Amino acid sequence: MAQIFDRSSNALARASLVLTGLIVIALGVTLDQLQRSPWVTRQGQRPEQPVPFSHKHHVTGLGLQCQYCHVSVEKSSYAGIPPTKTCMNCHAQIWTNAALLQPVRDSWASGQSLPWIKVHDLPDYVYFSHEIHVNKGLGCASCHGRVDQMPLMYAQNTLQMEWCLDCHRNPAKNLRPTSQIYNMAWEAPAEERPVWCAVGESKAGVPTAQSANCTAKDPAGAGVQMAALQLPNAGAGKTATDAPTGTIPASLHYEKFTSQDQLGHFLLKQYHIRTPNELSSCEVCHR
Amino acid sequence: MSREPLNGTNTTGNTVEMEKSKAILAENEAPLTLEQVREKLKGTTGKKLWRSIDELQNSPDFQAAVEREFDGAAQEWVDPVSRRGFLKVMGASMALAGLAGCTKQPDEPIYPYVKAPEDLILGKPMYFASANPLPTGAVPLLVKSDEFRPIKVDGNPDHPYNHGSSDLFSQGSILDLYDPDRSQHVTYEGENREWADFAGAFRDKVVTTKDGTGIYILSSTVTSPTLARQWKAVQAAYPKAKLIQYDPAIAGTFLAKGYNVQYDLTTADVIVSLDADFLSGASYPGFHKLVGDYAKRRKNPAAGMNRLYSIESTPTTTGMKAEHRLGLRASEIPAFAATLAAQVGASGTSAPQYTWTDEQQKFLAALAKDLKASSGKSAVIPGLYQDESVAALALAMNQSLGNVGKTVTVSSEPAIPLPSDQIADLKGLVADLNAGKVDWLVLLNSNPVYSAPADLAFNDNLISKAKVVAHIGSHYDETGHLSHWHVPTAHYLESWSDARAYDGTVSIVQPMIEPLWGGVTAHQVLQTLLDNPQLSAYEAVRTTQKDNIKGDFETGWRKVLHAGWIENTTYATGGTPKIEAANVPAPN
Repeated sequence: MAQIFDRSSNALARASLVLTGLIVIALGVTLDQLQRSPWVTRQGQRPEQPVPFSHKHHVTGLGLQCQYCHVSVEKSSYAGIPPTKTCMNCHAQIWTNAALLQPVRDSWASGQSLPWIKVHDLPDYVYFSHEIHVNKGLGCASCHGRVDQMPLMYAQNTLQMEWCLDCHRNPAKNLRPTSQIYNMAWEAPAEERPVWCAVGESKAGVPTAQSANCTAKDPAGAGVQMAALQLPNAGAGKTATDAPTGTIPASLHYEKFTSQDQLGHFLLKQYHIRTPNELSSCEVCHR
Repeated sequence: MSREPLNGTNTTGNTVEMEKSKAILAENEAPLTLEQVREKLKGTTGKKLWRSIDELQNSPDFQAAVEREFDGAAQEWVDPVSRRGFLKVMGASMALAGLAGCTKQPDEPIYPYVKAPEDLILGKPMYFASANPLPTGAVPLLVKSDEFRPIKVDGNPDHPYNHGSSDLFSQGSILDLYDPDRSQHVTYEGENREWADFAGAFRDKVVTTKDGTGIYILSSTVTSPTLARQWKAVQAAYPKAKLIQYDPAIAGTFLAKGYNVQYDLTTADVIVSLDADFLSGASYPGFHKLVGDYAKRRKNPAAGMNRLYSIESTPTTTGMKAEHRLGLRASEIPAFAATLAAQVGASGTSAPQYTWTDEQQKFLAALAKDLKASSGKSAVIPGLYQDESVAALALAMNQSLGNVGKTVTVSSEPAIPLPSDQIADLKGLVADLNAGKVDWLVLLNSNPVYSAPADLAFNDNLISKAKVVAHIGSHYDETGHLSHWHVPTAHYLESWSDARAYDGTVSIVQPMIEPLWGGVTAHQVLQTLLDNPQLSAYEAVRTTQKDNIKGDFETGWRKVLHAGWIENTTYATGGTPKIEAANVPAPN
């Protein structure tokens, strides 16, 4: 009986074994990349919103503070999307006939909400609180990127679990003085850009994050006008921006920081931030 | 036979064979005679079992039935998918279930407020004071509300009566609010109507009667002072209109008749429960306070613990917690109370003729001795579902032991705003229905077709004797089905009202949310008959409480809404309870 397969088939068979392995690996890599791609994470995507609201114009151009609209960011898990009333505070006076603002006026007249599309959308099984992040020294820009330079809102980061854990395993690399939370242009301290910090008295009922005072100007330098980076202690239950502005107590002992790592570890201690082990435990985000 | 025959010869052959088998079949179909059975078994030896004549006969019908495995009536897997195929698909879907996680999330919209409510921080719940108007005394509550939707009910921690404790009825009441079975429409003979249609028809009818003849309102126990005030106003305008209160769990008890005695267990060293299950739940008046005070004395044995005697007819929590428990038949308890009262020396009591066992006599003597030894520091608590005489005897004992004014407070005001003999009233209503005297029967938060005693035969036959029946209730229930009108009521978390706690403190019931299904309150129903039929429940409650709030009313009202209750509104004390020392029934 004649052989069905020629001798050359052996090579084909071997090649197909290797090829199958390669295909499986390629498929795995493709799926893995797909899951991290902007197509899935929506990183960088600008969904069509009812009104093409520009954060750049309102923040950089007009100088609105974040909390003018996102009122509950320091007080609640939810930062808050402004009600139509907030838009109308100004737009009842200016740009009253702009076609772009027609949906806002319609909403105001009809009482129907403006249906925004969520840009930073965490899955519903994730417990996330703005309150704790903002009050413990994490700036808006650390997660949301330079919103002040975004004409249309998009997600700078993936908001995937690996991205969350990246910081929860080493929070020091993103911590900043609580007075700099809303400073979009904050830069980490460096040799040419040092930061001085001192520990104030910790008082009962005062948020722990407010016991540290920081400044970008050398407090020892004579005649230098000090910029208060850290506001003095606010009353019980109040957040950093609730406190009245004041000057830095001169009697404090200041420490100089020239790198984010140094500052981060100092603040980590002052803000009583839990250990990376505790922070990356499942129940921190999945309750 | 779906296949075509190959040729004619075969067809003929087949036909012949088929006819032959049909003949055999017909022969076999006839049941076997005894001879045939004998014939079949002839020559067989040893054990041969069969379960039926059919099996022995082994007819084709029987064969077919055996092959079918399941009886014709049974449900079978008739899908073309085989079991094997099904498992294959299921296995695959289990294996691929994880893939569903690798999907893009859909776009999620945000609907912000157009005008944000004052003081609302999204993500943080708010708390509002209210009260659950139970007929055994209102339970002051603190309601947790997220974005103005009530999500949790708990006791009001600042209230002097319950100090934050609540009970299963109150905790569970939040589920009633969101019950998907709640009725959602005003209907007249099954067709949708508006509340105004009902209000108009009701008012027109009552006005034409001039004095309210033939108008009957059957309500659950009235707990609201405002509703009581509104009813009194209706009665003044239409003196012949009748209000019947009926609550299956309250009817016939001393509570329904207004008997109002409160206990303070903080100073009671000896507590006697005469079939009173005051530790189990809010079905006993004052449960929240009694259970707290009882437990407080037991947390610190050094300061002197209290001693609980329980004489009861069913095993209860109270009996299980008691140091000394005596199980008696329910009918023996009045006689036991009378004997105990006589031994304690309560005035106007005498021991009935009844033979107690040695054990019971020992218990009686020890209990009487202990009570007498701790006069002024004891409390005798009568069972809610016991005969009235037990309540009277318990009070007589408390009086003779000098407990009144110390551990026992007797109030001159009734415990419910409109005390009545609920069972007698319900019987009267049934008699009037049978006599054809009822023109309009309004059933207010009441479901008598379900809950009235069976021997009153409160059924479709009886209800149809009223000319018009209007059912105002939360569910389209048994009574709703038999009524002409049906109007949904608002849940207490949706309505304005007021109620009094065990100690008499007036609590304001305030709505947490607009009525989900446009329900109305009992206040609105009665208000339709008054001078200002559109007056809201809110205004009615404010009118009632005008005198109770001291100082500037608007400031005081806001304070009351914040705290949940009105200060200095406890029951007036010192009166004699309106209860006759009824005859002690003999045990049976």
